[in-house]
Amino acid sequence: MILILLVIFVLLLLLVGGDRGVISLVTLVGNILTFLFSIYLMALGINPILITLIACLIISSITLFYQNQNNEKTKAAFISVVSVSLLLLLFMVIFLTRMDLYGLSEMEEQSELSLYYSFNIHINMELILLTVVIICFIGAIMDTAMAVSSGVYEVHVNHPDLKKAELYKSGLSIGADILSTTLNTLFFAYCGEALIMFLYLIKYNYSMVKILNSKAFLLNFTTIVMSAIGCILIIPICAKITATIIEEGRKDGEK
Amino acid sequence: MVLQVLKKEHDMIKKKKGLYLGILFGIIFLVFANTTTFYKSPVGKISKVTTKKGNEAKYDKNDLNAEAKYEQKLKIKIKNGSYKNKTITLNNSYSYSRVNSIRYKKGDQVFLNIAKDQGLKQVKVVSLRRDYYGLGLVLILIYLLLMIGKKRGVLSLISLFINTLIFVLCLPLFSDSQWAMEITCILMVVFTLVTLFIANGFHLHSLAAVLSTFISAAVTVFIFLIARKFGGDIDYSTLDYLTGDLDYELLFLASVAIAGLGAIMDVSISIAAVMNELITKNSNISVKKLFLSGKEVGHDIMGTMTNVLLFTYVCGIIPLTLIKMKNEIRLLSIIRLQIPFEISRFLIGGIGIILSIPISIGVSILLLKVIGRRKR
Repeated sequence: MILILLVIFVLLLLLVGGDRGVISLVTLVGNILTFLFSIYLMALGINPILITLIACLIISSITLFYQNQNNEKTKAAFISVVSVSLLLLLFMVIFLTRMDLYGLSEMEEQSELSLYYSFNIHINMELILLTVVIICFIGAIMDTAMAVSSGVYEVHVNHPDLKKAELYKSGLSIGADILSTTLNTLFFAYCGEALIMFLYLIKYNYSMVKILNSKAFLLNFTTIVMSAIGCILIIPICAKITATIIEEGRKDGEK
Repeated sequence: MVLQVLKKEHDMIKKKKGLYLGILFGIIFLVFANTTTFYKSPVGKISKVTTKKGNEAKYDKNDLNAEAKYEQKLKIKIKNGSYKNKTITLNNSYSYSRVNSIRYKKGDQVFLNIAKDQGLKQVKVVSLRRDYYGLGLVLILIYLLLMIGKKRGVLSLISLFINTLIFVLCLPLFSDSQWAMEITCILMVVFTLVTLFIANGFHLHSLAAVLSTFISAAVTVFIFLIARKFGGDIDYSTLDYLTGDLDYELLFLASVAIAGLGAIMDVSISIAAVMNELITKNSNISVKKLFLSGKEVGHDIMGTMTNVLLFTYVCGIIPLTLIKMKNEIRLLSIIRLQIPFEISRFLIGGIGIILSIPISIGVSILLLKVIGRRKR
């Protein structure tokens, strides 16, 4: 079944996307390979944070610059992504290290994993936790940034005489529409994955209090909420940066 | 002149509102974090931690039994229940990797188990108390939604709240798998309506997004069912232990459908929103231009959204994958055997996203341009 889905996916990508579809496919493959290679390096024992930062840069570059070409939209999106990441990095690290969400979840602890595998793997799981959340975070905010900058640019293309302030307002308006569904994308992605987890926890008579304090619930919940916070913050930042870059481009054109 | 002064005052009041709200949330967080009276089990706060190295084991690649271990002495002050304000000392050990052990820190709160007849002589740490962090995150999220999103932020919040309520209330219904399929369908319809109409208002472009979501979702599920029929199903045995006696096939389909719904909605409203913005600024814009702009936005979104799906679904497997790799299982086998779920989820979500681009462009143009025009 996976094979059929894969074929349909690739076909649709090429049909609907055309040339861009091919590029998107290459991007996906590139990201997957980067991802796998990063895991491989982490298993070798290299500092996961270092790997994560480099991987995020590579992934952002591939996804934004290679896939969507090097233009004002992607430059704005890239700068926004980097800015928001730096802005929130400290906040995320503090929360995640205090929450102690690393290691196996309650469900995995109760399963037979400990019978089959040794846990003395000499990889700092606290850092791995940061890796997981940061990668998910970057993915989410890249998308929002691209949507905002793309929308603002389209408005500019159709109304080249709009000033920076007007473009910014349009960006905020588009962002406001996107805001709720970006949040809901994250929300539903979480619900879908958590559905099975919740049923499991309920079946084993976890009380409400226990669920709300569990690693299993909070790990996914925290990832989603942090990504959501990033997505919200990036809307005004990206709108402003896109409008500014378009303005600079226009000034250069007039020269 | 008067207008300028009034506007300045208005802006100052708005900034003050933001400050007051922030302070209010801060207080709520601190109060909740330090209140333990409503818990049935005893809760303690760690006031002091002393850590020292346990064994002198050096990591040996060939010997998975050796890893640095650390011993902790925890001074815990009990915050509620009959032993309130008493202090006890407990030991904890954790390994360097901390796969199944925890490194406690000063200030952590823990749930304790105090044996009834032994009193303070037999105390164990059950688990960490983490809920206040969750609350803190939610408060920050709400604050930003209100500050940056303003009116739209409030609406988004309301739709999120309603969706969560519906989801939580419907959870127990899934235990009776007979109706799981019907419940999922109804849920998806309700979620779409709630999300798109409340958060985006009862506009024509919201309707366009709703319709394209329905169509795209239906086609995607259809494709999934056909693929399953002709290609055989995936191996659900790893899912079995999670669901027990429930129908895991249906549950898997439900979880994939719900997860994909969000992405499809996102694409639909993104395109509809841009179309609407373009038409608002120029009601005479041609269908061809709309189509081209829609295609442009769609292409831009398609790329990043499929990558978002990739990372969201796939990064959760990192910890377990690393454990397995360190236990001599090759990465390739892990991919082949252990993550068909994530791959299917990703592929179906991706198919949904790609499908919804042309569908939402078509529906948006139809509704906004053709029908919207007639109204004027």
